[in-house]
Amino acid sequence: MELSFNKVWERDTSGGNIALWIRGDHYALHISGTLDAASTDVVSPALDSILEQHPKELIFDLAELKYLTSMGYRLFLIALKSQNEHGGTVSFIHLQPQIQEVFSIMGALSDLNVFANVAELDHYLLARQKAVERGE
Amino acid sequence: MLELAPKQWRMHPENSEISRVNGEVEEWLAGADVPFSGIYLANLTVEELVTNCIKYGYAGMDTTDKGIDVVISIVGGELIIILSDDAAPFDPLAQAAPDLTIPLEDRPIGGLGIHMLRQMSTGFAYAFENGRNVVTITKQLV
Repeated sequence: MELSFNKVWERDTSGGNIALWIRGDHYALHISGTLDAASTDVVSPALDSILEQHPKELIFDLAELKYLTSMGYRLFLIALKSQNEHGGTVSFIHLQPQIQEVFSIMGALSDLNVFANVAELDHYLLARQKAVERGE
Repeated sequence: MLELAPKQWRMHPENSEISRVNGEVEEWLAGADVPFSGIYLANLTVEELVTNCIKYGYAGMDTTDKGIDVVISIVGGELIIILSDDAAPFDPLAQAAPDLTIPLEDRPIGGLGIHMLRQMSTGFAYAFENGRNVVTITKQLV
């Protein structure tokens, strides 16, 4: 995760670990290893507690995500729905090829905010902020 | 051309068995220099089919003597994953494909796992033989 974010906590899952990084009202959840049915035992409540705080931007950093199954993918849909309800957004950074393939298979790639890294994400956020200021 | 003699895993229908078998499958395939796309498909097959099977196929059954078998081999560069169980008959191919035109956050969750497997494999077949559900998933490895 980039230096501008501060790590708040880190937890082990059955197949890796998750860590929450925060920069102002931007929350980045770094998920490593396997995101499957077993790991949702830890990831699901952690994600719920993040969503309850209504972050303006929720970023999933998937740099070290090796396996994503349908149960893991489901968590992203839950996050998307929750963020939409209060006007927050969801973005994904550092997608590995196999994760990108899953998103593509799910027909989700064109509907999701996917960025190569935080710099690219920030560039997008800045452009969006300027558009809002111009009243677009 | 990659060749790998069949190896079998026997699983009790419990969710905790998935991580154990997938750990062993990953180690075995990686040790044989199988491309990651093949390892991913094998892991995904075990996870998606076994969780479905435990949730629906064995629901309400005494599973003391029940078992799920996973057999993996590579013949002529083709990865062959055969998963068989003695749960209630269930044809995963009979499930309708998910409607990908519905807005992302409103899509039903059911059927996504089977959809992933169908898209990632080159062959997906189901049969009910000798009282067992037999699913065969294949992928030609590059």
